[in-house]
Amino acid sequence: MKVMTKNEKTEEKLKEFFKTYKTEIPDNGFSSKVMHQLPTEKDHSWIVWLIGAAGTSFLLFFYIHTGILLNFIENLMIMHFDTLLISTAVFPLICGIAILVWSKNEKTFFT
Amino acid sequence: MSNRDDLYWITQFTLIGDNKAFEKLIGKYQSPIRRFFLNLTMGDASLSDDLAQETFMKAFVNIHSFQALSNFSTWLYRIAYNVYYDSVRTRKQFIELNVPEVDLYHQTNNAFSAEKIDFYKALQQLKKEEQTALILHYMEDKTQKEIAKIMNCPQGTVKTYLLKGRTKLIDYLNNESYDKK
Repeated sequence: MKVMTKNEKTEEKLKEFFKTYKTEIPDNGFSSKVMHQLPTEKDHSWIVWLIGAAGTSFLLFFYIHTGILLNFIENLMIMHFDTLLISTAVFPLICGIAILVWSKNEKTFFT
Repeated sequence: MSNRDDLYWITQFTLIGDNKAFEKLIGKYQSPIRRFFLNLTMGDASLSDDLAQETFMKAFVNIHSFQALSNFSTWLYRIAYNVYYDSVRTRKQFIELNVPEVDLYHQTNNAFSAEKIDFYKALQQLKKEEQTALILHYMEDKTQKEIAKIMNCPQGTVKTYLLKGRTKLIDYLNNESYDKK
């Protein structure tokens, strides 16, 4: 059996002393109280939506006015169905698989 | 729960603004942070809760400056340490009272600490820095390197605080026959 040195004994004694008085403090509404006291920031997300909507409207107007949109629709009509399917389905398919893999690794993703 | 969870919640909060993620961080750290303050204030539960609240508020406001160079826990304790010493400085300016007397008054007035008077009496044998270092090391399981980051001092200084604190505390416990209790 290993004989403990004086330092080791001191260390053990102090660890035991602190362990005796180590208690978990129950939340008792502390977290929600803090959450209610947190400073609130004004929601500026409407600016992003406004700029987005303005940009989309401008592009749509531009495409219609210059005939690009019509040209694009005509191209879609003559495009082979399989090419169209691949071009539209591949991107969301890859994204879907990536999200599934990630959510399996990260159990808190959907909670 | 690991530091990975902390980083996930911080990302959720800072990028998406998900307040629930921040609430999870509070839920995880409320007990250690309140216990840390409770021990430093010698059992003043009301003051501890106020200081803990201030700590989480500062964390909320400054979380964008957290760069994950250290654990979130260390970063949070660093804020808590600063909040505590700011409060000590403020109290010193406004109240010229005997601190142990005030501490003992509060100890007897809250349910958490009534049975911990022996513990606080033992801690009162130490200087504030020694108390902090010992509480962080033995109670909160922090390494010397982490304590140095929290207290913003060299690791050698932490070693000195721990050594001096240990010697004083063990002498006190021996005199009080702690083993025989």
